[in-house]
Amino acid sequence: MIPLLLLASVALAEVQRWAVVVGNNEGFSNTHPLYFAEQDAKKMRSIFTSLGDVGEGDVRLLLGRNRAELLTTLGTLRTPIAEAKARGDQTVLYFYYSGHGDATQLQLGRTWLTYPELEDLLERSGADVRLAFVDACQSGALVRSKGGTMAPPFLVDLSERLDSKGSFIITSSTGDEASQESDEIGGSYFTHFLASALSGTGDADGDGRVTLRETYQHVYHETLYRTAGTRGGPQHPTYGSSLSGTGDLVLTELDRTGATLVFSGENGGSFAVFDVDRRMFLAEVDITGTDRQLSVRPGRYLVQRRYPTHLAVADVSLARGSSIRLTAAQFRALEYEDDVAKGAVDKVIRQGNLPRTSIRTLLGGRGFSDASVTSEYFPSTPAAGAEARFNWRDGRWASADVLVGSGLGLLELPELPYAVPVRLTTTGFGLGAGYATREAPFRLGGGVHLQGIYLSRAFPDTNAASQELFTVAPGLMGWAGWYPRRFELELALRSHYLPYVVDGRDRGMGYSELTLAIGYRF
Amino acid sequence: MRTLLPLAALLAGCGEISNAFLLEDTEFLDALPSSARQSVSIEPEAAKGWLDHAPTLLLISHQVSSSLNELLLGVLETMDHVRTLRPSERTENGRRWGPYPYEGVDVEVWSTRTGSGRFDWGVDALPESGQLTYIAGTHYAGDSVAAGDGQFTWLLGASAELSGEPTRGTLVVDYDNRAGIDLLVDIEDFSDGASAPLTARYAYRLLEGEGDFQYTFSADINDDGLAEDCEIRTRWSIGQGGRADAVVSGGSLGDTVERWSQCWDPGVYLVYEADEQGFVTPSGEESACSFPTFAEVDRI
Repeated sequence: MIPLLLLASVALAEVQRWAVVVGNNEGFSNTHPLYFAEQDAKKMRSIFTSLGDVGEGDVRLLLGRNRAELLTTLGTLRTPIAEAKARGDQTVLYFYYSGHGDATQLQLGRTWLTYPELEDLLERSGADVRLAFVDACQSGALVRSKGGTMAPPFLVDLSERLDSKGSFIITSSTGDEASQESDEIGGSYFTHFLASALSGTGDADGDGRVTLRETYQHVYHETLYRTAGTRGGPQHPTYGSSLSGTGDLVLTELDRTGATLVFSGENGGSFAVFDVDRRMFLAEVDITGTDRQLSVRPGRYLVQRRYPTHLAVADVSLARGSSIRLTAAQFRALEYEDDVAKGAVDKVIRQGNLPRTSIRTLLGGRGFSDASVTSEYFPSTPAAGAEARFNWRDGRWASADVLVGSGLGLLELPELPYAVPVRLTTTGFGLGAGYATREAPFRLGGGVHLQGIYLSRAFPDTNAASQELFTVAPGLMGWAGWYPRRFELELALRSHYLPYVVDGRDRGMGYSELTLAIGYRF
Repeated sequence: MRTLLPLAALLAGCGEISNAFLLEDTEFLDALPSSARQSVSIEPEAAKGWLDHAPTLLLISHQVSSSLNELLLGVLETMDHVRTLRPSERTENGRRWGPYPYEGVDVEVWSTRTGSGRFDWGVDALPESGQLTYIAGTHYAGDSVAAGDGQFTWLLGASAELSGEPTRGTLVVDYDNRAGIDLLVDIEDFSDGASAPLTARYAYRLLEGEGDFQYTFSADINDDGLAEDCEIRTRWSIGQGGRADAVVSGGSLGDTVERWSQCWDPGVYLVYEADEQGFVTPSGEESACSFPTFAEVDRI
């Protein structure tokens, strides 16, 4: 056994690995946003780096990105892969996708990537072995051309050494099945069991390494088992392969993280493991008489075992290099309503329903629409301010803003033979709400805006007292913007009616604000 | 309904924005004299070149009015200049303009509302030695502030002293602009330093298209070394010609009183001339005059 492990270690050292991890909650306009796709991508990135021998700098995490960004990312890997191959290293490229899909393509927001395009891109990366995990509805269509198989027997027989070439694709479902998310586990079934398997629950032979064969078998069984009774129906993970060569491929080594949870075979049952620090459902572990180990990154974990009447919960802290063996004595009884793990999942769901918040700086001007009001009362002034904008997935938005205008101008009263200098300061506190086109690089929006406006006129050339007015002005607003990634560049026009009759004259007291917003979306 | 009241109050606004106090600048300015309201104008017709053929008495009146205006403009041009300036100070009942440089001295003009429709105003010189008010007046608003009446006094000596000039005397102007222009100008002990002090009164009225300019003076009109006393009243009706009547007495005339009349047509051509002592050659018919009867000076 020891020589075998040493051999495997040498094999890992000779292999250069990269990972492209894609998560996108958004799909085409006829789809509902997903809650967990991007969350799942983050989880997989963590596993690739902590257990899968992929360096931090060799992972590309794309959250909410479009087709162009994916193409660019894959293209940039070609050079380092070629360089590694020139050095004689063997190269492996992991590709993980979580998001919407259909029978022909992956949906990257409003953009798409067809399955043939994906296969072509992976092949053009130049990596010796391409392993793709695609968690999307009807993703089995991706492997159909390769005679995709959903049977549990794993047909590939690879050697311990990586001397094979080609691609291997595991999809979350067949070509005509939906891939399901679960509120209970806080992610998709497929990715959840994929992550569990790679973390150690897939280590069927207990050798401390999770191979491609073990991973698939674990994911297949667990996903099918857990989805058999769901409303969406049973979901069959499927694979397709063009690998040539012999041997099995080690995907993760469980001792790489230096922290291990050991489940005693004497304490059989089904356990759920939650990452407390990252509020993530990490893995399910079924113990049936033999010890199982789960490799995890150092941190705090909550291990839960369900009984008909109560929960048994153990809090575990793992330091780097530590190993904790869980015994019955470490568990404490907990009523179901105190289930803190479920709260973590609920939080993810709530966060999914929360609007995306952006903070913006506003630069522009404020002026009155009537020329005589401008010349006789309120000159136009430059203005600056800030705004918080909340954007929901369905296009609704709300905002809170403050915009301060100040400037020195001249009042031109027809009754006076001279102009009167005036310093006008206006401060508006606004609340807005409305609808916008759905998320895209270019968007249009409109809505209502209610502004508490404070106006102050001072006359700097005399000692005359300043004049002040505060009122509430209803208005309308519209905007057009460009939203590259998390940044926002937006031109907005807000027009308000000022319900104030100045000097008893019947004037149109409307004012407008034209602003350029520069913002960042969280 | 009760819950809507605070919202309605909010929409109505708190505070006040108004230009009323800026527009009050015009009231304080209207309380000051102006060349349009307080000057004398003997321009009976619009015809160009009328001075070339105008009757003698009208030419004399025109010359006197020009000299009088030249003096009045010492005040009025200052006021006209102030009208182009923004006030340097605005209070509820007052405005102040300046200081600004005027003939080598910093000058301030102020106008204060001291009662209902009453404005006191003045021009202060601000030499290094302090503050010297050399023009002061009181104005009473009529139907409008501009259409009012009042009086102002110019201490000619005080202002001339600031600029180093030898001028002495006092100018007092009573005016009434409620219906037109009505001026009574008194010059007291006026001297430019070379001439003997002069005390004189001028009455000018322009109401509803009819003008009346009266003045008296003493002058040696026949170059015999003796000064005669002259009283001249010039009346005109815009577009219809006019008449000047003079009474000359004293001097070489002794006890004799000469009454001399001239009338002119709309083109300012002589249409009638006559006198009691036969010094002039009579011409025309008095019935051709726009003012058919002789009228003596009655406001001085």
